[in-house]
Amino acid sequence: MDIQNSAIAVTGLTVRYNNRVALDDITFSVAKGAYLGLVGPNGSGKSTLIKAMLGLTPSAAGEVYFSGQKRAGFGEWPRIGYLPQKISHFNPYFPATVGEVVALGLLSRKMERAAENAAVEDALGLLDIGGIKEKLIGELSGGQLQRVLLARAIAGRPAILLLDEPTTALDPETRERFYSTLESINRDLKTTVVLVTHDIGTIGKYASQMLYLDKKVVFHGGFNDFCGSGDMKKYFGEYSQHVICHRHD
Amino acid sequence: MAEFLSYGFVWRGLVAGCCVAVICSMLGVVLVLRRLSLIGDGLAHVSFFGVAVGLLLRATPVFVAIPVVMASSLGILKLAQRARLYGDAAIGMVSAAGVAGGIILASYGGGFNVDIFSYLFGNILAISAGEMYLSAAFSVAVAGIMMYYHRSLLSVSFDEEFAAVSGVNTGYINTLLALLTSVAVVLTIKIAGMLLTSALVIIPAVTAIQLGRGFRVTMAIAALLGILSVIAGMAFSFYGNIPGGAAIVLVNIVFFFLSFPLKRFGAQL
Repeated sequence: MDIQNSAIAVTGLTVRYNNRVALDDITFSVAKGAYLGLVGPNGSGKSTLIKAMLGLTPSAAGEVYFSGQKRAGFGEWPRIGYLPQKISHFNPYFPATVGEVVALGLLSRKMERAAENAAVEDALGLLDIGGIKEKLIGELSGGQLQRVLLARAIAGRPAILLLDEPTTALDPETRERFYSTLESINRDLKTTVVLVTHDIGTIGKYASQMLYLDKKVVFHGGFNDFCGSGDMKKYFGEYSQHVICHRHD
Repeated sequence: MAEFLSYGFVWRGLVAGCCVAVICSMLGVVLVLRRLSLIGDGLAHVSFFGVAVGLLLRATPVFVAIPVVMASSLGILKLAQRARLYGDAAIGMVSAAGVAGGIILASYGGGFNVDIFSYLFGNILAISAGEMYLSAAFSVAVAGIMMYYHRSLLSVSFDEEFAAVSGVNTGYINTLLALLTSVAVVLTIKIAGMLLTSALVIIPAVTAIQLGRGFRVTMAIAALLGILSVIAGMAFSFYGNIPGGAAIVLVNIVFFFLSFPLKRFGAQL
């Protein structure tokens, strides 16, 4: 594994909850600018892996490297964007404006007010929600809120973006628009994307790599290899094998 | 009104009351949004113990109560983390321990029972010049720290996980919040009394949350409401011969109910 030249490298990562193994000896790397789809059944440890990579969940063993540096000594947190599955204790009456929330993604940048405003405008513009900067968070639809949270994650132009099931509560049309925007961020800004999802169709459409997790790494490689290996049929059924793998071809 | 403002004790009460109202209201916004409203109530109960220790040692009660309440607030944080308790259960435990300790000390102290029970209800019209200066100095310090860290406080209040990922030292901010709340609560018990201190933390904040558009604006509205409630409450107290702390709290309740029609008519700020 080329740790120094990878956007993300994870070696031997193990997480235990009350002596129960949640992640067992996870090792993989993500190339710079890649789009990794992270899939697996419920309880397979996908969210735990993201949180352990970010240091939000303590790990029993292993190392995580971002841009070749150990996470513990990684001094460029603004270079990592994170969009959680949901905000714990989200308060719809929180009196923050969209502009204030997006600016939180720039907090550790310590920018001048004008430069910060410009970065916030840029992020909102990129996600096509420039007109809602003064709206309160509680006044947004589910789709708008997710876009605002994505804008917060990308406001600092991160090199790496980690997203944990970001479209669970969205309708299909909004979800498609969200993933299309995410693809353009990956393509145009060269941002490395790690996306946790249950939606294998989305992975097939957008991801360049995929990792199938079930407490340990079951498969890690290209999407075509996953289709070709027969793992698609094994884990997602014959329908997915036919429709998604053929469409991807 | 001229007569009201012609007395030195009224001015002392107004200055001290407005100062602590500003910091209680600003802290209240953060605490309410983080669903920690009752920490003010719990720490006010603990301050009963701190004041009892101060009186027993014949020291200035506030100077003893502040470190005692600070230690308790840190204890609440540790209990919530280490014993895997929800925050409200940790607050309930520490608060009960504080009141129990205060009652036991009061029963041994005998001679200072009258003094300690004055802290239960507070008396804003009995603020000394020293207490006024103390309140003003501590309030300026607390407000200054809050303004310096207001964006970190916003980040941690809105989404603590994201705050941690984006480089905010969430443990430091949580500890700071607990310590600042401790100072505000101890300063407030002489004004509103142990039983009503939490009202000055919670009510201006929830009213401001109804009206504010933006975190900074909401904090400013809360501080303004705190000041207005102290001025109006003291006036009612002076002319109506009613307890000052209770009058201030009731004015805050009126403000809260007025916020609904204001909001309905589009008066969000």
